[in-house]
Amino acid sequence: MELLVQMLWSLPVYQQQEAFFWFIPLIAAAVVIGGVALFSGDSYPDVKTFAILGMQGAGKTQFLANLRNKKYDEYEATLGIEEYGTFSFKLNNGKNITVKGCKDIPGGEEWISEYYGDFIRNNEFLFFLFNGYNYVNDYKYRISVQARMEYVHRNYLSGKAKGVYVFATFADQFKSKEERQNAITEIKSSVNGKTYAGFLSNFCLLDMRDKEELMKILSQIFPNNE
Amino acid sequence: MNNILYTQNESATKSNTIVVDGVSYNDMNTGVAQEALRFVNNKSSLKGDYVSILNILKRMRKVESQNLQFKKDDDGVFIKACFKEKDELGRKMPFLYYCKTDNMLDACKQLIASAKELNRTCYENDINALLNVSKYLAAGVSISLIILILIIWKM
Repeated sequence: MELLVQMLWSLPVYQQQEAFFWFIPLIAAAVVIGGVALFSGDSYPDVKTFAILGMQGAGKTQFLANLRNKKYDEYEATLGIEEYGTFSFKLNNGKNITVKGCKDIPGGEEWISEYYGDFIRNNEFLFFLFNGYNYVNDYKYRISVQARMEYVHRNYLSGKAKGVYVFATFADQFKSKEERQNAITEIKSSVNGKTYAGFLSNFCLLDMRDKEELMKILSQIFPNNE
Repeated sequence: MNNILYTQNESATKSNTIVVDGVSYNDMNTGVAQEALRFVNNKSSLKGDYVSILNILKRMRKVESQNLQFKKDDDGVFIKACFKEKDELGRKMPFLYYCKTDNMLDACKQLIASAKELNRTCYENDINALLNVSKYLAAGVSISLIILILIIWKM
């Protein structure tokens, strides 16, 4: 820049004026690009670390497929840790989020003692998924979900997570809006007095295949003015 | 441990199963089963062999399991894929398999036999791909060379 200014001043006056006119469109373009980047929310990508946790068959792989904008037509369960590296997605509110070092850890019990602890403690945003329909209708399943939430809570306290977001999935299996509302009330009241009750104070009941709904929810979790 | 088959069950609420040298375990938090699980999971996290060829075959729909992966090393043969059977959510049931052998045909035969014990079936296309992956690579290289020669010749 200094060199450019020196070159400009070393020119004769009439050439200096001519050279200055050449800079006007460049400056204008820079101002416009800067303004667009600032107001569109596309400025710097926001880098975060996610841990996707939860029960087997709750929709963890579908959740990640939605974020990564990948098709998940050929439903295959996950067995063994899948590493997704770094990927980005854009929310409805214009915010760009980059997720670093994301892993898909299977929901089987055997993975908990071995991998869940570090996974919970070392990530900023924890997403916990369980099948909402099974939770309401299968007492054994409910007990397993609660045991796992208790485990997440214990490790969350000693970790660096900024928040835990709970998704009760398979909302489509409830036949009406009323049934869904009843399920939400029942799920909330089932954890009254538990240490992890706070996780469910603002949980969502959704169909994980509904990408639009998921993105709406994530836009609320990650507002653009953050 | 000469033979390990770790797989999911039909129900999401039912524990997964690991079969180590013919013995089936549902609790994988202790002993042989835990050791076997750690072993196959470590193998699963390593970069597989012929990854790009398998990716091409997946795109061409020449294999059925989108998670198909294998690794042949000093320990033996490791295979990751799905069975034909689906779970209650309609998802293909995946498996991790290890066999202490240096022969892929032998590993595939033992895999099919172990799967049968659990009433599971492997996809023929996946087995064919595993047995012929080096031939696919050779065919791909030959075709690329012919195309390159033709391009140079036309120039």
